[in-house]
Amino acid sequence: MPASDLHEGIQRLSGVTGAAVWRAGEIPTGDLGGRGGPVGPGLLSASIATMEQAVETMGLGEIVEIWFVTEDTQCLAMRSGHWQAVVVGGLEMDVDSVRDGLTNLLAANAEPDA
Amino acid sequence: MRPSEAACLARQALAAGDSALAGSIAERLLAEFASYPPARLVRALLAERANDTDAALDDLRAVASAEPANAEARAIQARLFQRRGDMDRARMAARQAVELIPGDPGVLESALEVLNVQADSLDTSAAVLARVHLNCGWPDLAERHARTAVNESPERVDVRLTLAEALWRLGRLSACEAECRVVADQAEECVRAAVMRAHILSERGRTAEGQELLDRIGRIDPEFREARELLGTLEVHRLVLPDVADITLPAEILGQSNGTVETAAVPSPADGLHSGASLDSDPAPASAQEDAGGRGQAEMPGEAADQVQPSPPENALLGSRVQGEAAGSVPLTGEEAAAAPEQLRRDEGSEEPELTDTEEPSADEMLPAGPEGASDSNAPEDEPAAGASFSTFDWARHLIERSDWREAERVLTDIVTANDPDVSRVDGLLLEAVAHRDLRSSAWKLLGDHYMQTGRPQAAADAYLRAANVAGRSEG
Repeated sequence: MPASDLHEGIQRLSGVTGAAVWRAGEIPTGDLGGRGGPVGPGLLSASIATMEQAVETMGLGEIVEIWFVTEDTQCLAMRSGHWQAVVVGGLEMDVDSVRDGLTNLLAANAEPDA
Repeated sequence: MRPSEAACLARQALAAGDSALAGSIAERLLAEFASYPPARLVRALLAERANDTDAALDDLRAVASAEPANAEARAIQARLFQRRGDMDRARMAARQAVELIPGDPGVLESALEVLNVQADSLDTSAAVLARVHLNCGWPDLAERHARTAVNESPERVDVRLTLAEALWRLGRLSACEAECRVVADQAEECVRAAVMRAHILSERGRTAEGQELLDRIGRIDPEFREARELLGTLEVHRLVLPDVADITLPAEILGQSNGTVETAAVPSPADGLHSGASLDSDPAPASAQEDAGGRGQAEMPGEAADQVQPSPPENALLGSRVQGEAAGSVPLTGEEAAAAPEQLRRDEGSEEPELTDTEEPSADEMLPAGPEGASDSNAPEDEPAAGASFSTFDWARHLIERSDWREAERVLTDIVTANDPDVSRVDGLLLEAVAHRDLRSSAWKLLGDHYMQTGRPQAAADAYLRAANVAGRSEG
């Protein structure tokens, strides 16, 4: 499945206002609800990837998901096989249900060797 | 007679104790080619014998300027400084001679004598490792050690030259050009740096300027030995090596010698296009110490595509891993390209011939930037001959030069999307692009994308941040 199709599916999850999705080794694509402009998806995913790298370098293992909240936004980053995704939503976003939905979507589109 | 054969005759005369003959031949050579390093070396050795240290050092300075990696010149300098009682400089020059890995045992022995040490008691320095790796055809490792060596000895022009050459072999032409400039500041007649700069100019579509620079090298290196050695490692290049100048020695000089050059039976450097032939056959003793390096470099063609392709990171983070694989097109040799330019031009839209050199091995870059066939409609008029190897990278640079920002952005996007396996080459191009104000925001963003594709999330985050900042400033 192309990343754009998966992106559409993620955007339909309840409470999600923006998402970026990509395969490992590809360019993050999507739209964070206009936040950050065209650079937004890349900047957020690269920053999260930097944190992942730091955590792995410290020997703390591989991050499966990252969630953070600011005064008006929640952000959830997940990986599943080759697929990686970052979603954002308001404070009302139900993170648990988005996590489940996202996990299902990514798993359903997992590639054979993932 | 080739100049190198004449220089060899002079060295033979010198070895036989016939200083007059050696001097005559050296003067004859220098009358024709005023900066010819082998002739200068002979004159320096004669001056050393005559205890004229100043004159010898003058000649050696010129040799070191033209050939910063000439170990023999450094070894003689060391002896002369020692004779003057300047032990600091003597040791420094001797150390440099040793680190240049001289192939001639006599040169090594002379340098070790000044250092007053045995060869096995010397530490292996970063400069030596850089040179060894470069000679072995591992430019990425050479670069790493050369950078360490440059930090340790920023004044060492030979180390800078090693770094420049490693970068050149990696296809990082912008970085190489910057190092070549530093080399040229300290060694303005450096032939090797000039050859690399000539090639870089030609790769940027400034073939005429590159050719002119290459032609000028003939004053110092009339057989274009170094040019043959370096350019011989490329599959294809646009430069034309000028004819080799011969020298006629007067009959009285030839009469004094036995008329034969010991190594003259071996083909002259000019007889072979590729570096292996030229270096192995070079009879000039002054260059003997470089043979090992030359052979190593000559083995580079065909290897470089693998050399520049980075290994995928062990852990695939959100930042991902490198996916590209070297494209498997059949490389063209220089001769093939020269023999059939029309064929190349005809094929460039339908096949993916490997284009420029082994350091820049992307196959798909041959294609025009987009489906519109931009290179057909907008190809630079001053480059009809360049069609055979006008790559997407060149096209992007050309558009940037023409300030065609929209089209340049489109071509750069294509390049990033294509995920060229030559990561450093894409790095270099995008870093060039960010220098242009109108392209800066999109180029930083593309650089971020490229860093993400190649598993460098920290660099990607920085690039995206810069893109966001530039965009923010523009909007403000």
